[in-house]
Amino acid sequence: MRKANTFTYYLGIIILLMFALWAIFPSSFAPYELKESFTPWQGMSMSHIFGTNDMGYDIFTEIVYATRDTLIISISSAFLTMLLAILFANLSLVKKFGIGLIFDTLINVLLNIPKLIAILVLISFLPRTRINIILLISFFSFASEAKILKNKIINIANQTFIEQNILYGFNRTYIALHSYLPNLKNTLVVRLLSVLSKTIMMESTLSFLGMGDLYYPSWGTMINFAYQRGAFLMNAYYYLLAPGFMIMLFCISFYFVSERFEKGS
Amino acid sequence: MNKYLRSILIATLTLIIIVIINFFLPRMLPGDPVYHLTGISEDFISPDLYNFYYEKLGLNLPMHEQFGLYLKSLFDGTLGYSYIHEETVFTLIFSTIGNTLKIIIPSVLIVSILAIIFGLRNAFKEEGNKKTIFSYVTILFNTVPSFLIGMILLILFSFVLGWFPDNGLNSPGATGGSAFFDELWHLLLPITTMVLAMFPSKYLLVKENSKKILKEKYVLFARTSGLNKLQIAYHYLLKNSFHTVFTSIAMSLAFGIAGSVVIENIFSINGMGLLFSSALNKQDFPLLQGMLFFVSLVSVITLIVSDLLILIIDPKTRRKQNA
Repeated sequence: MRKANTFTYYLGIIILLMFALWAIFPSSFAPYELKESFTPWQGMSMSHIFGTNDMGYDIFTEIVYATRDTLIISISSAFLTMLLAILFANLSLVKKFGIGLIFDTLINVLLNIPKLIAILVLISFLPRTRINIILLISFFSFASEAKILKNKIINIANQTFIEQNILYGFNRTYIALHSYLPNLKNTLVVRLLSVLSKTIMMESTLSFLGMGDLYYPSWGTMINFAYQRGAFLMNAYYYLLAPGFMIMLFCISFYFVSERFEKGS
Repeated sequence: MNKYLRSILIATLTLIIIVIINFFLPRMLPGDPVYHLTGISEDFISPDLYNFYYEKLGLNLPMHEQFGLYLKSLFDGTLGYSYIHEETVFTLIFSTIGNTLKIIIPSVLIVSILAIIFGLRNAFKEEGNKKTIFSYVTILFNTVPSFLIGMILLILFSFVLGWFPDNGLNSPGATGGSAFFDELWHLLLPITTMVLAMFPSKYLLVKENSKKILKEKYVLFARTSGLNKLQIAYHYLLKNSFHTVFTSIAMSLAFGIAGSVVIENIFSINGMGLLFSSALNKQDFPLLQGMLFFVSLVSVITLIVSDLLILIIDPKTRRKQNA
C-alpha cells in the first residue's frame, strides 16, 4: 500500500497548506469582502460557492476569514497541550522526594474529570477571551497525552540498549538525546497530530454551544450562528454543513499526514 | 489490592478537587459574589434583596464557616438551589436524567456489541498489516465532529426525507401502547448519532489490542491445534483485552453525558444535556456547579465500580495485585 500512502500524505499536506494560506492571506482567497452584502439566504451557485447567510454575506468568504481564528485557537492549544504533556510525563517519572507520585496523581485525577462539562462550567465563570479558551482546552487535554508519553518512556527505558548505554558510562544528556529522543520522535509527531484534531473538535463544540469567542468567529461559531438564525427553517443546509465540512477536512488531512509516522510510534 | 485502593484514592481525590473548585470559583473571581452564587445580576436585584442574599448565602462569614455550610449543602440531598429555575438542583437533574439515560444506555450497549464483533472480526482480516476498507472508513468517520453527524442525520432523515421527527420525544396525542413505539421512533436518530460518534474509537481500540494479541505465540499454538476463529476470538482475544475494553466502556457511560449535551441540543430532547445548555445560556451558576459535581460523582462511581468488576472477573489483574 506504499503508493496509496504517499498519495494521501501529499494530499494531506496540500490541504493543510491551503488552510494555512487561507489563514495568513484571507483577502487573496476569499472571492468577496468580509461584510459585503448580497441578497440573503441564497443557495449554492457559481457566484456564491456556499451561498449567502441571513445578512447576505457570502458564506465561503466568512469561512476563509474564520480560518485564522480557528487555527490560532486549535494550534496554540495543541502545542500548549503537548508541552504540558511532555513536562508532566517527565516529572511524573522523577523518583526523588515523591515528586513523581504527586505528578502521577495529578495526571490521573485530571483523567477522571469529564472534559467538556468542566470546560463549559469554568468558561461560563471566566471572560470568554481566546486566551482563556486556549488555556482551558490545554489544561483538560494534556492528561491523556501525558499518560501515553509516560508509558512510552517507561517502555523505552526498559530496553537493553539503554542499560548498555548506562554501563558504557554515557551521561544522562547524551542518553536522552541519542537513545530516547529518536525513539520518541515518531510518537511525538503522531500524538501532536492527534491532539490537533482533538483540540479543534473541542473548540468547535464549545463554539457550537455558544461559548466561543464571539468577536473572532471560528467555524464552530459559524455553525452556532446558523443554528440560531434559523437556517433550519430556511432550509439553508449549506450554512450549517459548510463549516462542519471544513472541520472534517482539516482533521482528515492531519490523519493523512500522521499515517506516514505511524510505523515507529 | 494495592492498585485498586490507589485508584479509589485517586477517584476520591478527583471528587474532592471538584468540590474545592466549585467552592472557591464563585467566591474568588473578580466581580460580585452574589451574582456568581445566584445568577441574578445586579440590575435585576433590589438593595434589600441583595443584602438578604448576602447574609443568607453566608458571604459575611469567615471562609472556613462558609466551606462548612457548603459541604452541608452537598450532603443534605439538594445539591444546591437554582434561583433562576426556582427548584433545587437535585429535582431538576432527577426530572431530566431519564430522557438522557434513554439515549445513553442503548447507545453504549449497541456500540460495545458492534465494536467487539467488528473489532475481533477485522483483527483476523488485518493480520498482515493490511487495512480493510471498513477500518479506513471508520478512521475517516473518527474525524467528523459529533454535532455534524447529528446535523447531517437530522437534515437528511427528518427534513429532506421526512422519515423521522425532528424534535422532542413524544408526538402530541400518542397515548397507551403506541406511546412506546412513538418514543422509540423519536429516539432512533439521537441514538444513531451517538452510536456513530462513539463507535470509531471503541472499534479501533478493540482491533488494535486484538492484533497485538494475535501475534503472540500461544495464539499460534492454539490455531495449529485446530481451534477455529470463534474460539480464539472469545478465549484469547476477548479475555485478554478485557481490561482495556471494559474500562473504556465504563468511561463512555460517564462521558456520554458530555456527548448528550450536543445531541440533545440538536434534537431538542428535554434531558440533562439540554438542561446544561440552558443553564449556560441563562448563566445559572448554582445549576452549573451542581451538574459538574453530579457528573463527576457519576464518573467517579463508574470508575470504582468498573475497577471492582474487572478485579472480580479477570483473574490476571487479581494476581497482579498480589504480586
